[in-house]
Order: sequence, then structure tokens, then C-alpha cells
Amino acid sequence: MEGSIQGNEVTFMMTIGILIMVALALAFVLFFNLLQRKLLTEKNQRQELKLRHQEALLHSTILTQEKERSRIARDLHDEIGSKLNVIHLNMHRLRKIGGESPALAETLEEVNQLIHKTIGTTRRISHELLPPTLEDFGLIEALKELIGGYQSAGVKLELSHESNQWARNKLVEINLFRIVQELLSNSIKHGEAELIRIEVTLGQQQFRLYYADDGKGFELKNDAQRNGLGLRNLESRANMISASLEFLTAPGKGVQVTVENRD
Amino acid sequence: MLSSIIINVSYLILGIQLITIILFVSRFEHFSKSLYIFTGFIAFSFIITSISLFMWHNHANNLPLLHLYTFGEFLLLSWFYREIIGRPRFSTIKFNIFIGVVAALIILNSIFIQPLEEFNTYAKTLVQVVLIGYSILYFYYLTNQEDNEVVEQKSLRLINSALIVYYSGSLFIFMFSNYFIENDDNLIFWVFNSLLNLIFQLLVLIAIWRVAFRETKSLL
Repeated sequence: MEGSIQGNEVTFMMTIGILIMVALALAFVLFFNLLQRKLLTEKNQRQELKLRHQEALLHSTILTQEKERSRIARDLHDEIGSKLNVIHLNMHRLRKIGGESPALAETLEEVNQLIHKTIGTTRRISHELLPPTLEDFGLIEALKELIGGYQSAGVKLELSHESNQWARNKLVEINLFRIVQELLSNSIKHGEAELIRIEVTLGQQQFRLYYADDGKGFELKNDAQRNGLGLRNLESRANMISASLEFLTAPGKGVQVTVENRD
Repeated sequence: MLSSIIINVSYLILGIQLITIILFVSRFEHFSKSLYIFTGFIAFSFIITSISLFMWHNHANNLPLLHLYTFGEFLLLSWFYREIIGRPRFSTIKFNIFIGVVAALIILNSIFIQPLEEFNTYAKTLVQVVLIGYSILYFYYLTNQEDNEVVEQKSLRLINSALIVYYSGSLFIFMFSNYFIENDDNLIFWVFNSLLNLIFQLLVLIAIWRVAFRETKSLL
């Protein structure tokens, strides 16, 4: 009888002990999961903040870069370009005054040609830095001009556009233009594309850019590759104008990019 | 009645272990070294349980197998935890010394204190306490981890959770198993142990399944 009571007590104590252990283990697992979730949330918030900061930094770098390009282009055109033109005119006058000496005439001709070339180079650099067509006539005309420059590279370029009550937004235009510039450079340099198609739709409040090439395409594996191809810049430029950027590519499938305003 | 539940649950456990092993073998390229080791432990457990069931059916004493199981379980799970907690948190030499000392204690217990025909309660308790310790250490390691959790880490966390619950729940059962063997009316505890083990094996299967059939996503 006593032995049985003792046995029951042991069984009872054992049951309690086992249940406490299981409860403790479950509580520990639950506590840990909650703790880890909290830590992960905090970490994600920190990362998001860091990313936002990096994004803002990149935006400001791009804006500064654009401002500097614009300033240099203006200085080149207004200061150096105009002064070179004055020199060019004076050279003409000098040639008239110089008269008969063939040695002087030959030297003047050489200097004249050199100045002519320098004026051309200055104009080209200035245009590359900030195409005046973009400033004066807008995105479509600037793209036509840009495409014209690539025709000689043996690539077939097709541009289709649609504009409906587009109220010019210079920030959008310059960023879309730079995105096309970057994509064209990638398609020709890395993609070995033969046919490139660009579609631009500009509406009253919305815009859309579609870009496709028939090049080699590639597999996007890591961040380094994204940086190497200037994709971070493209994403950042799209973000700056509140646009989404969809980038589709695969080996042998070319590249398709769509930039579209989010609103 | 209770003993038939234990036997039936044991067969069920064997079935789950077999599915786990087949899943692992058929999709082994999806697994990392740590899960190779853990599935090795499941395979080891499957073999020992099969032999012990066979011996039970033939009315042979299968307790020597428990001694072997305790030893193998400790070594394989220690290796597994060394792999997932990893350097530099563990000094490999110190950890290996620790494994060596515990393994020696298990062997000494089986030779001098609790012979092969008895339950090796001391060794089994020691191993369970050590494994609970590893599990807590792994949880601690996870809270300090910087990288985002990928599918495999989620599975490892599930295995670790299952392991701590099973070993905590069965700690007292194995600790007092020599007492239980003398009192048949305590079979209910062995039923409870079997059910805990069944849950453990099911969670392991889920963890392995998730890794085997995880989706691979590209960056864009």
C-alpha cells in the first residue's frame, strides 16, 4: 500500500517535472522567436534607413553632376567658344593685313585650321555635356539627335514617340535622356546589339520609356555586376523622377527596359 | 495497449525518417554540409531503431544498442552544431577536447558504471543536457547574426527548436528510465516520449522538405 502511494507520488512528480521541462522549452523557443523577429525588424529598419541615406546621397551626387555639366557646358560655349570665335575673326583680319608674305600666309592658315578644329571640339564637348537641343527643344528632339550620332556605328536604331499635352519637366527629360544614353552605350559596348528600339510616350501627367535591344543579354547575378553596368545609376535616376524601372535580360535574349512614372 | 502504441509510433517514426532520408538523397545538391551531417544522424537513428525493433520482436535485449545510439547521437549532433555555430565562436581545439572528454565519459560509463544490459541513464542524461546547451547556444548565436535569414537557416532554426523541445521533454524520462523499467505502470511516460519523438521527426521532415523544394530567385 505504502509502496503504491510512493509510486504514485513519483509518477506525479515525474509528470510535473516533464511538463515543466516541455513548457520551459516551448516558452524559450517562443521567446527566442519573438526576440529574433524584433531584432530582425530593427535591423531591417536600420538597413532601410541606410539605403535611403545612400539613395539621397546618390541623388545629390547626380544632381551636382548635372549642375556641373551644365555649368561647364555653358562656360565652354559662352567663354571659350565665343573667345575662339573672336580669335578666328581676328585671324581673318590678320590674313588680310599680312598681305604678300607666303610664309606668314602659310602659318596663318595652319593656325586658322587649328582654331577651327578647336571650336568644333569645344562645341562637341559642350553638346555632350548638356545637349542644347534638350534644353531648347525637349526630349524627343534630343533623342533624335543622339540616335543620329550612333547611326554611323553600324547599329539600326528605331525611335517612336507619342506626345500628348506634355508639360515640359526638365528633371524628367534630363534623366530619361541620361538613361537612354547609358543604355545605348551598354548595348553597343557590351551587348553587341544590331537593332535598338526606343519608344517614348509623354502624356499630361505621365511618361513612359521603353527600350529594347537584340544584343547578347546577360545574367544579372550580383550587386557588383549591377554597379558595373551602371544599373544603380539607372535605378537612382528613375527613383529621382518617381518612376519605376523594370530591367529584363537573359543570355541571348537582349535587354528590355521600361521606365514609367509611378503615379 | 500502451506498449502497442509505442511500437506503432516507432514504426511511424521509422517511416518519417525514411521519407526524410529519401528526400535528402534525391535532392542532395540542395543541402549544405550541416544538413548532410544532420541527415546522417537521422539515418543513424533509423538504423538503430530498426535493429532495436527487430531485436524486440525476437525477445532479445536491445539495451546495448541504446549505448551505441547515445554515443553516435552525441558525436553526430556535436559535429552538426560545430558546423552551424561555427568558427570563430568556437575554438575548434577546445570544442574537440570537450567532445573527446564527453565521449570518453560515455564509454567509461558503459564499461564501468552502467553495463550494456542496463539503461545508460547517466550518459544519456549528460548527452541530453549537452545537446540542450548546444541548442541554447545556437539560439544565442542567431540573435547575434548580422545576415538575413535564408531558407536553410529557417530550417536549421526549426530543427533546433524541435531538438530543444524533444530533449527537454524526454530528459527526465531517460534520467529515470531504470526506475521505469522496474515499474510497468509507468509505460505512459514512454508513450509520451514516443509522441515527442514523432513530433520531432515530423518537424525535421518539414525542415528538410523546405530546403529540398526551396525556390531559387534571381536578383531581378
